[in-house]
Amino acid sequence: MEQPTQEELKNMSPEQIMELQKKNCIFCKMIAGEIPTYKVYEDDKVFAILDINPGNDGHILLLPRDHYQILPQMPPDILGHMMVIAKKISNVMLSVLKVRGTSLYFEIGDAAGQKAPHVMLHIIPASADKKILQPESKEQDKDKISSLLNSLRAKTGYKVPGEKLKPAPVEKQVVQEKVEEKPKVPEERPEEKKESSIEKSKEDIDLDSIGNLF
Amino acid sequence: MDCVLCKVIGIKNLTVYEDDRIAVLLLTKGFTLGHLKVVPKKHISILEQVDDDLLNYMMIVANKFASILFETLGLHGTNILVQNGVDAGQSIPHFSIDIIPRKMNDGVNLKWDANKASHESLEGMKEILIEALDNSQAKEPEQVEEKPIEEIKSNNNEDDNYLIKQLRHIP
Repeated sequence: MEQPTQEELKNMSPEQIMELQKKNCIFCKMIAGEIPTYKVYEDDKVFAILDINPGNDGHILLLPRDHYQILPQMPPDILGHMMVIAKKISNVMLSVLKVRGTSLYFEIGDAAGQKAPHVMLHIIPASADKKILQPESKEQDKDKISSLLNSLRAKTGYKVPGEKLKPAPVEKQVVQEKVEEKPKVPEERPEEKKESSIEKSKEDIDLDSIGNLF
Repeated sequence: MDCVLCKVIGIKNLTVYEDDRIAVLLLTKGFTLGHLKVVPKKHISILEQVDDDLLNYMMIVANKFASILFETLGLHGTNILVQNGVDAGQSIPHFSIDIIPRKMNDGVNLKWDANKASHESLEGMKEILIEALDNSQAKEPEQVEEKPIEEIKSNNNEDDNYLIKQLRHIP
């Protein structure tokens, strides 16, 4: 295929560069049938082939039909569908290949071992003799864990529900009535307000709000 | 319920997010700092028992948290891993999707020896899997064998119970 010159590359729009990446993607060529594969499954969203350099026999690569370079770019519906198909493939491996387990594995970024610029899910039959994807767990620094716990909770807005922070719905109603009936009770009001706002912030958490945080 | 993960879900001291269906837990003993587990709140042992809706949702949550970790820890990459079954390294009989923070040259052993397979063996494998997948589409997913789960339970040695130990350590 003709490749653009450096000069042409410089003048390309992001969309054109994406298009070029797609044209150069070896997995897109496999999906298009331009390169032969050992295909085991396909539908309108995903494509599954045998890895020719398997970790264990039966190693499958499950790919989205469309070109996405990294996992965070994948639309949720396609990602969800990929997992459902992966479950089906895993189930078949357990019953037909007589293995006692499967590994499902995504790599996001070079440092995580991603080599191809096309999202893929490795589905690898387990083997009692050859253990793969089983690194050692290490005790992590307690202070770092503690501070990370706080940062992550701050990002998601998660608060550990305690007795004080979790008024029962009935009480909440009572609180509201109290406030309406007796607006002149200053001691009780700040705390009640705090409680209900925390309760509210908990209710408001949804995935979109987490998504908007970064 | 004897399940360690069920206990951790209940105690909430390692929870960074939860809703009515799932919880996201931070491991004090993980592959790297920031290792998270996305788990169903209901006790489900292996992948094959998770219903499609829940699985779909868990994966979308895992993908979001991979990005949240990436930002929070200034990572170079992340892995998302399911260790499904005892031979895949699943140490607790409660299904989870693991998110593993990665940095360049962090030395985490997530590589495998890959040897080129012969054309004959790939063709043979292809035929077996295509036939089995066609059959599984025609009928409901097969009844999951109980054996892998039993194995996990009996394999619950001291090391597998690190989550229980964590319960005592966390502030």
